[in-house]
Amino acid sequence: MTNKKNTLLAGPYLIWAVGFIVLPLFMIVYYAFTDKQNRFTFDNIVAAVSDPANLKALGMTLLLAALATAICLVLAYPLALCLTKLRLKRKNSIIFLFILPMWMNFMLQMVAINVIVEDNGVLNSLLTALGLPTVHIANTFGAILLGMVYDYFPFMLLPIFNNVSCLDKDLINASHDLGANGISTFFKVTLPLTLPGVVSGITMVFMPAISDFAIAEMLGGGKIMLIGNVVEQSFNKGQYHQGSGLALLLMVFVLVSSFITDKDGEGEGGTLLP
Amino acid sequence: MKKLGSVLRGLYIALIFVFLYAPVALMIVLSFNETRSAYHWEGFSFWKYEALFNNDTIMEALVSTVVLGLCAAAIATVIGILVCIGMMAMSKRMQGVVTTTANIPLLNADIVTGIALMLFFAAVVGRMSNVTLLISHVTLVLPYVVLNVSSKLRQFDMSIYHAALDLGASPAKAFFKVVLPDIFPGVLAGFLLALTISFDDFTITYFTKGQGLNTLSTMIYTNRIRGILPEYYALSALMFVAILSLILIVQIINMRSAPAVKKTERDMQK
Amino acid sequence: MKKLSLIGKRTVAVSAAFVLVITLCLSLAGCSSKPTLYLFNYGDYICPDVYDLFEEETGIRVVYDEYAAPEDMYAKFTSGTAQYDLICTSDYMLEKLIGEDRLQPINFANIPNYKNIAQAQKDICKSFDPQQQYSVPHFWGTVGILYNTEKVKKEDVQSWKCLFDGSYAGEIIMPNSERDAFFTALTYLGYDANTKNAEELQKAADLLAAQKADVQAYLLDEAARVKLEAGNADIAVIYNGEAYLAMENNPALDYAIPADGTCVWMDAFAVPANAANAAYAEQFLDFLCREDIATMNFEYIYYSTPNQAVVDALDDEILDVEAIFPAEESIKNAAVFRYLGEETEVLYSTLWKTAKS
Repeated sequence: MTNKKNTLLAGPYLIWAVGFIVLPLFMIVYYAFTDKQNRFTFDNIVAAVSDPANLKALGMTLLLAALATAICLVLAYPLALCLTKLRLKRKNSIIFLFILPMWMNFMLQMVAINVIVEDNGVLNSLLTALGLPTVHIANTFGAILLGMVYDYFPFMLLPIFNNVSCLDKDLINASHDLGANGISTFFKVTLPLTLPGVVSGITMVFMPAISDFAIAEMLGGGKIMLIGNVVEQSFNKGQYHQGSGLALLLMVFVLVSSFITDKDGEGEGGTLLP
Repeated sequence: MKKLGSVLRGLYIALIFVFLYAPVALMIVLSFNETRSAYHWEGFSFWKYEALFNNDTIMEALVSTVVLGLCAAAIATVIGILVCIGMMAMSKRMQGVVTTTANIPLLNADIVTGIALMLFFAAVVGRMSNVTLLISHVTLVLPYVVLNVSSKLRQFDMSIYHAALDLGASPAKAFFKVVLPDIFPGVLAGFLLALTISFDDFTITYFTKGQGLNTLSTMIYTNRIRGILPEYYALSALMFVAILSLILIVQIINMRSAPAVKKTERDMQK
Repeated sequence: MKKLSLIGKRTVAVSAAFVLVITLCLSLAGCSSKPTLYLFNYGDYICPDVYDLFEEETGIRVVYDEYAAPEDMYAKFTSGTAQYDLICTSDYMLEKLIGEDRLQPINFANIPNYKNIAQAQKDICKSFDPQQQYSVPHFWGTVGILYNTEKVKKEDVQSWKCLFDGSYAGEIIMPNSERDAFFTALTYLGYDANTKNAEELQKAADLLAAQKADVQAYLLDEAARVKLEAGNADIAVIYNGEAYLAMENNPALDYAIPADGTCVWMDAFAVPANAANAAYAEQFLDFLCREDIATMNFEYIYYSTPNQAVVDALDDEILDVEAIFPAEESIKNAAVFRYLGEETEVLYSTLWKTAKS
């Protein structure tokens, strides 16, 4: 199978990759650096980073994405540890229970979250029944944050779980034998060893979170503009050149940071199914 | 002390479990609710399911989603298998180039991929159509197939293939009789992953679909101004059941092939 | 060497099968041997049964896309990425499209049922289609305030002021459409709804930006209605038909047209200049103007129908509903949106983006 002729089999793929992956990206570059009369210009890039509305959207986006990533991490890391400690025969099966809801249609998930967080929704009914004060999160920053955490949680859990479950128990036992307590064992042994999983998880949550527009549109009640919404609306309003300027910056940021954190070029996406 | 720890752990697992399943469970419960309201229970009924099956818009979107997903996954699987075999004959550097381009849609923001494809199609063919949508979806799911198949192919013991050739099988026959069955779990996983990624996609569909066509995601998005239709509850419930069965089937297939793998692992440890 | 290659008969067969599958997929996807009319419309603006009836009677299938705001429609329509045979949109947007030569004159000889359209509504159309060559009215109506009578005082909704003075903070639903949102602010400030004065628009934008903290969400049509029906918000700027449905579904709700001014909007169909099947479009328009079909549509959405034949057949009970058929004095001084030119349009969209950010 290592016959040189077989490289021909990569032909259809290469044609596809050049035609539908590489060329389209050049279209964005082209639009980003031209104006309506097809003249070369830097205006779109300059406008993308100087428009106060864009900067505000950018700040909001970074804040939201960072918070969502942090919350996912704080929730997922202990969960991964707890899951590996379960005495189960098929440890790897249990993880699928936690990924399963992700395969529900994304839009339907958003609909469901909306039902939960509405002012007279299930969440507030529950709080009232428990004698607690109600919360107003429908159509706010909070609703979008919840939506992001819910949607991206499995992307954080999986790489961390894969890493934690491969952890060599002997190292932890050795640390204990050498007199380290639970806390210092965690910070000196467990955490450093599982750092690749954590980094991978952070990338896989943060990257989609900064470019999302659908969650904000579905849960934000049109009140919160993220960078993704700004890009989408530019295209929706026919302002292809301005939109491309912003999209180009987004692309450069996402791709560069992805390749830095993901040096061997293997995303974790492939492990999402058994 | 140890006991307390395990109780706390169990509690934590349960909490996250509830968080993840609450929306799904709620949709399923409400799908049987007699009333349209999402806020109180008024008795058991199946009318939302009936409404779902009678709603042409949703059913058409469902069919489009499934047909699109199957076609995209099938095309991507064939292209993916071919490139994985082709890659084995390539130099390391060439392999790197191929995997890197393969990963671009995986790593890139969906909105950028979608816009790029839209601009490209607008420049080349002008109008968006079902064909542009299908091409976009194949592009989107290709990396997932390549990842799954290539990782399985790398584990494949080439000496078996050579043995088949030595025994007189043609290369193609050797591939179909020896290689393909062995990498089949990877192919299946790639195909199913491609299918689910395509089903779940919103952004790329949104930018590249032609006039008059909707998938479930874009239909719900366009209808967002209409609030929550009662059909959505029934749809969620059915989708959940469908996905659950799909995952179970994959698990069973894997379980069947797993003992053999485990056995070899044990042998190797000895 | 030849033997080692994978490219053998089998591979050829498989590739052939693969190509076959692709062509099959593509042809399945692209199959439209049936005559098809491509329609671009606001969301949920025609009773779905109407499409079935039309297909039954004529054999023409209607395939439609929906949009939320006229500006979105314009971008998609002009991008060339989609081609439609018929569009439905609002007054000022039609004026823009006519001005840009993007529509084709309708042959009214093919639409005998056009006679059912009331003269008063044809006159409204004159404001954007002076020669009445391009448009066939679909629905018209007013913009007003839908409010929860248990939470909001009736005297408050007599003015747009109630949206801006903070008295209903957190309970307000504003329209997610720039012209409508600006309209409320401009009217409250005492400016003309069609002003092109940058200073006045800036003031309105400032007012909207300051109001943002009090707004629960920016929503249109049904989404706004559903919020109020469920009691999740108390006050919404809304189109009249949605208001009527809301009042039917929740008796605590009422509709008011503020005394400081409303606007009358007119949504009409038009045939794009690049339509592939203008004849189908005209057939469908004639169908829509037929009394029984117009009645179906009316009873589906309850906006004010321009179809005199439908109105004549209605009971007094429904004719008295102010939300559907506004009294003449409440719309006497109503504004009709005009197209403001590209410069003002760009200003609008910049101001709106900044106000909402």
